[in-house]
Amino acid sequence: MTLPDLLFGAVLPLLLGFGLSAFAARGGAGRGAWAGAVVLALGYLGMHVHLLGFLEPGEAANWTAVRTSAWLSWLVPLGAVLGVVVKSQRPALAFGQRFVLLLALLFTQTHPLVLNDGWTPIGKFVGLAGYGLALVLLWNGAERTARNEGAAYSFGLVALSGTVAAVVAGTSGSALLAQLLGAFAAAAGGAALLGLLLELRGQRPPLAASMAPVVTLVLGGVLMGAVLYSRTGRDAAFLCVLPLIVSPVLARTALGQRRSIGAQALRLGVLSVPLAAALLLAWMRYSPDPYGY
Amino acid sequence: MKASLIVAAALCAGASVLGVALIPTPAAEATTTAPAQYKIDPVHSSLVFKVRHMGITDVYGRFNEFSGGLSFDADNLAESKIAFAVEADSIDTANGKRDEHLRGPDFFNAVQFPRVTFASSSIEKDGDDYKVKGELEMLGKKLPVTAEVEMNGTADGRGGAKLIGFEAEFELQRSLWGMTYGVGGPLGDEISVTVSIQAVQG
Repeated sequence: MTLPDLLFGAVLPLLLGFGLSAFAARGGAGRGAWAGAVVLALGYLGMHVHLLGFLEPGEAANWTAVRTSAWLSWLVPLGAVLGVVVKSQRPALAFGQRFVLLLALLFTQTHPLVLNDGWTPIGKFVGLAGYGLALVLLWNGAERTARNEGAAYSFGLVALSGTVAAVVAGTSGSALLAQLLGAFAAAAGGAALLGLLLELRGQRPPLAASMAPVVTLVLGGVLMGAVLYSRTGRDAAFLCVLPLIVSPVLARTALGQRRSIGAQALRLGVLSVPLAAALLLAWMRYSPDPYGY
Repeated sequence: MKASLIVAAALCAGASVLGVALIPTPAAEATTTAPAQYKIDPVHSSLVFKVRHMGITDVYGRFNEFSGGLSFDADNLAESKIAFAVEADSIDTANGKRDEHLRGPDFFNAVQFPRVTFASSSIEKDGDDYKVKGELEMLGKKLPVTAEVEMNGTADGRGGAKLIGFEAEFELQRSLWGMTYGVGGPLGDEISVTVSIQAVQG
């Protein structure tokens, strides 16, 4: 890992997550909903551009030849705009409108599946349905978590999932995808830290409210790439996003009703069980040092 | 009888005139003969590469599966050409784990981009050797490369099949194709490629 890798992959996203969230929180209670989408998108994009560059229109014209992950340099900003716009609508967008936007984004995200020559038409259909369902569940989980929980918990959960996803992707064959996920997790970590400080001071601005589209695109998209093009197992990838999917369910339990920081930490601990399983799977299947050869 | 002789004579004369017209003159042959077609013999051909590791050692690897063909005539280089396709999945650096990593998204991304291809655009004489220019497509990106080619000669193979042998060398900067993993760190950006080809006419 080079110094620029470390800067764009950890230091800058962490500082950005913390700083931008602090800036967004200055608006007071009920403000700063844009922070979630913007912080996570910028934190990810810095590393993406550093490692892969920005997908230029000339390259994109030959769209079947574009590396799958390269599309994220366009999709993530779009997702951020979508997240901010949806959250700023008064009155809120109807379920049908949000569903159409979700479907459009998911179709764009899953289009590489259609291009995969190694799959039969039935395989493509099953793949599209399976990945599409997982992404809808992820979107739904991230959306509900951001709506009902504080910034510390919401960003913290994203940071945990992102970190484990990075380790799983890295262990199973792709340092590139691991670095992309790592930068994303670092941005979420910085924002979670700021959220925790605010919560300790009794403030709970909805900083994470707009994060769902970006979480779905980055976490879902990069893990999908790891499954399709690297050796990451579908089970390990699904375990990485499972905490976000089931978080709203846990929120309905007695533990979920308690708002203390201790209770939130305990919930994060419970939700880390699938993440530990994902790490174990990756560890058992692949050597702990895949690049030492 | 007389009539049939006249007809036969006329036919022979016609045939001889037609025959003369069909036999090309030496001058016409030089301008119209297409270069001979050859098919790469993978059993007697190799594609090896080397990359600098930690700035001090060259690590070598090879691709075990590739195919292609060429049409070559030393007197008609304008119409001579070569094209080949390499199966990215067949990379072999004598280390299974490293090969798995090389097939993945950090390097060749072999599931999405299963082949690396080369197609020449021009072949020029360069002293005793040749200079082949063309486009190398890797990771979905086509970029120009120039190879120095040494022609080793021709031979008669089994069953009298005409063989041709040559060796091409070129360098490429892999980051231009988007293969950036390890560049600026432990792995070099420059890749030296040597292609040793034996091809069979036909």
